[in-house]
Amino acid sequence: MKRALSSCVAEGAEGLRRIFDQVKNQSRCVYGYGLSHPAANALELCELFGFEDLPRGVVSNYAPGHASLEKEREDQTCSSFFRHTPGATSPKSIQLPPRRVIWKANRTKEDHQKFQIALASAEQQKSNTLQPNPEILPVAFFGIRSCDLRAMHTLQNVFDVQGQGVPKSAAEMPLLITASCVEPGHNCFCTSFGYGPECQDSDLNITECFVEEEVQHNKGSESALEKTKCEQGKTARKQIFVVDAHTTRGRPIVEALSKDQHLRHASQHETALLTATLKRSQQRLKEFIAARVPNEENRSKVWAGADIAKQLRDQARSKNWETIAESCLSCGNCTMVCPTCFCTTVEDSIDLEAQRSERTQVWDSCFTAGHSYVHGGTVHKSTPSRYRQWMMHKLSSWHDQFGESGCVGCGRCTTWCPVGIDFLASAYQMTKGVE
Amino acid sequence: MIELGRSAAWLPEVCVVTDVCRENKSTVTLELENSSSEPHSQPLAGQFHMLYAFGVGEIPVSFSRIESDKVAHTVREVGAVSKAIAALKPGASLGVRGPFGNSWSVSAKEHKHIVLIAGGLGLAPLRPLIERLWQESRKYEQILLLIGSRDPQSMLFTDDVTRWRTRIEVRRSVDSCQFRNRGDDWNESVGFVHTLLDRESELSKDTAAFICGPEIMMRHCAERLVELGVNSRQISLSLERNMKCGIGLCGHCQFGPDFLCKQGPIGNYHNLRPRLRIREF
Ligand SMILES: Cc1cc2nc3c(=O)[nH]c(=O)nc-3n(C[C@H](O)[C@H](O)[C@H](O)COP(=O)(O)OP(=O)(O)OC[C@H]3O[C@@H](n4cnc5c(N)ncnc54)[C@H](O)[C@@H]3O)c2cc1C
Ligand code: SF4
Ligand code: SF4
Repeated sequence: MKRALSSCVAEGAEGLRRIFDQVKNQSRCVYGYGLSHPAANALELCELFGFEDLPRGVVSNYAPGHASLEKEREDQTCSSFFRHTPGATSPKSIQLPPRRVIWKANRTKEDHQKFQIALASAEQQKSNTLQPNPEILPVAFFGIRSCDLRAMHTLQNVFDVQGQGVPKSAAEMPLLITASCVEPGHNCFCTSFGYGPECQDSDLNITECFVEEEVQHNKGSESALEKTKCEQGKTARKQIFVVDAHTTRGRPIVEALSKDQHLRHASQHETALLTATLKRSQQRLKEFIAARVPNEENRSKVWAGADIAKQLRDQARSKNWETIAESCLSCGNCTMVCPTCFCTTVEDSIDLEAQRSERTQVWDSCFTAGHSYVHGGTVHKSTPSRYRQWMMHKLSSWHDQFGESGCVGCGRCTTWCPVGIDFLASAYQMTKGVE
Repeated sequence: MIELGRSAAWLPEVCVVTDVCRENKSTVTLELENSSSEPHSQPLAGQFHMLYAFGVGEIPVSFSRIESDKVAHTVREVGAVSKAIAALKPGASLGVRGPFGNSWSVSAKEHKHIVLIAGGLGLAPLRPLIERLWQESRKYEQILLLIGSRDPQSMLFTDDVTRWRTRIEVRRSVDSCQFRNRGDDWNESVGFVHTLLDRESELSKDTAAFICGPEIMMRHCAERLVELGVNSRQISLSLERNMKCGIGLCGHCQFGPDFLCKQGPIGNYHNLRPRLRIREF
């Protein structure tokens, strides 16, 4: 793997806190994965008000139809920050809120037949967008993953291609601080799209590494090191965060922290450790994918490309959809957790006097009967036809519509499917044996 | 990267209903002032508006008349929103977004023979096209309009039909006619609309066909036209899918790769045929 020689290292939780605070100070707000409340057993994408909101010592345990979190160990000095994979919600909930009022209508007092319509809030009216006015500080995402970033671009591309994206200056773009997935989930398959487990196109990427050996003492920073090691029997465990800046927005963060001695250049040993950590993660991903896509050929090339788009199109009339979707409940969970699904519907509400009405845009799913309802009936009546819409949209028609894949390989649809239908394995089933 | 669509696209403009005309028991035509003063935003035949009834909802409805100072929509009362719109009186407000979608395309240079087939309310989206062809009828060798309806009582735009007959050939048929034996004045055909093509043995290769009606009826008609020698690329159909936004964002109107609110509602039979044959697609 090609990598910049300029990796820097922050030591221990204190080191990570410095990075977080630096990001927090220059952002309107910071979003990342956290526990919605201390007792919650699920990660979600939420606002991180401070460093303490990062889920520390939390390991995710995901399998088809299963998601749980485990406490790593009681040890506060060395417990991990990024050994979990993303939660059910994704940056989509910021890009496209699950529910938002778009406009309000009021009847005219004098003439009951007449009404006016205006955007829901004064802010929206001012900026003529559906979002609050952008302030000078951008928002930041902290600790999101390469698939999250890919999904954010994919969703933005939908708005842009449809001519509905709002042009933004570079300064208004969110600051993207990603983390490498050092412990990939069982349902992940990002690498079959050619990226992950680390992220190379964010502003700054952080890889958490552990050194399970005797700590090499360095006179200058002895006390800092003491803090970050913890004894486990005879070996000591040291936690470091390898930081790679990729952009002109990421580099000043590194420079500022280096000046204050909170970051230093990675040693040769640490660079080797980083490589080994990522390699191990890649190896695990390879095994997880191989368990579902036995054929090496298929595994390595087709998922992101147009090949699969065509292969699935050719299968549109196949009987296999019935087999694949046999246990599907048509619940729509997969589309709700999907970081790129953009379908929405609208709800109109009216007050008791029938004077004021509001239009609300809410997430929708192609697994509902209403999604394809036209007067006289639903087009997608059966569950297999809905499953086909979902899979063909993600892996086939998305290419026609937006020139890329609608799937990013995050595996959420498989994790949160109540009956554990494996999306990757199903796609492979649908396309295998087809040239 | 986190800003969403411009609101302007979601925000209806409030228009005033200038006239209301009941076509039959369940169908009403509403007239609105044509507010688009600039020529490039003039609606085209085949396009549609999203019409919003206060507090009830918003639905896609095609233009059934396009004139420089006014447009009309013909609405059949089938559910909550269409009923609310059909109940409006002159002077009432109506929320309007659009025009959206593509249009019927016809050129006298390429086509000398025109076949138009309307099933039921499908005549409404075709009417602006028929009006144009009627005005330019001299440029064409033959214009044939076939209209199918459930029964004589629900035949639409009968005054227009009388006028159209002065320059173009109009054949009409009803699916059934209960009063036929009881002195009802229906003296045209009975049977499904595609049977009106049975009189033809062959159609010219330069025929352009335009079909609007229920999907199953459009498929039958298109197949029949292909048998009669019409190029499937020259057969245009107008499809219907659920639509919530009209700007390609709500995802409801997808028909495989197409968003029917943008790449549609009109498509050519050559492209659509493979997808129309897939059940529940
Ligand atoms: C491009 C296009 C042009 C149309 N032109 C006309 C026209 O000129 N005249 C006319 O009377 N009707 C037209 N329709 C159909 C019209 O939109 C539906 O009859 C209407 O949406 C029914 O809404 P409802 O609330 O009255 O009925 P319900 O059956 O209660 O429908 C509930 C909701 O489902 C959706 N829906 C139901 N049927 C359709 C449908 N056929 N197409 C899209 N969404 C639907 C709407 O969101 C509607 O609010 C057109 C549809 C499309 C897609
Ligand atoms: S159609 Fe289905 S798969 Fe496609 S974006 Fe909408 S909900 Fe997701
Ligand atoms: S695939 Fe699973 S998550 Fe998706 S609708 Fe079916 S049962 Fe629900």
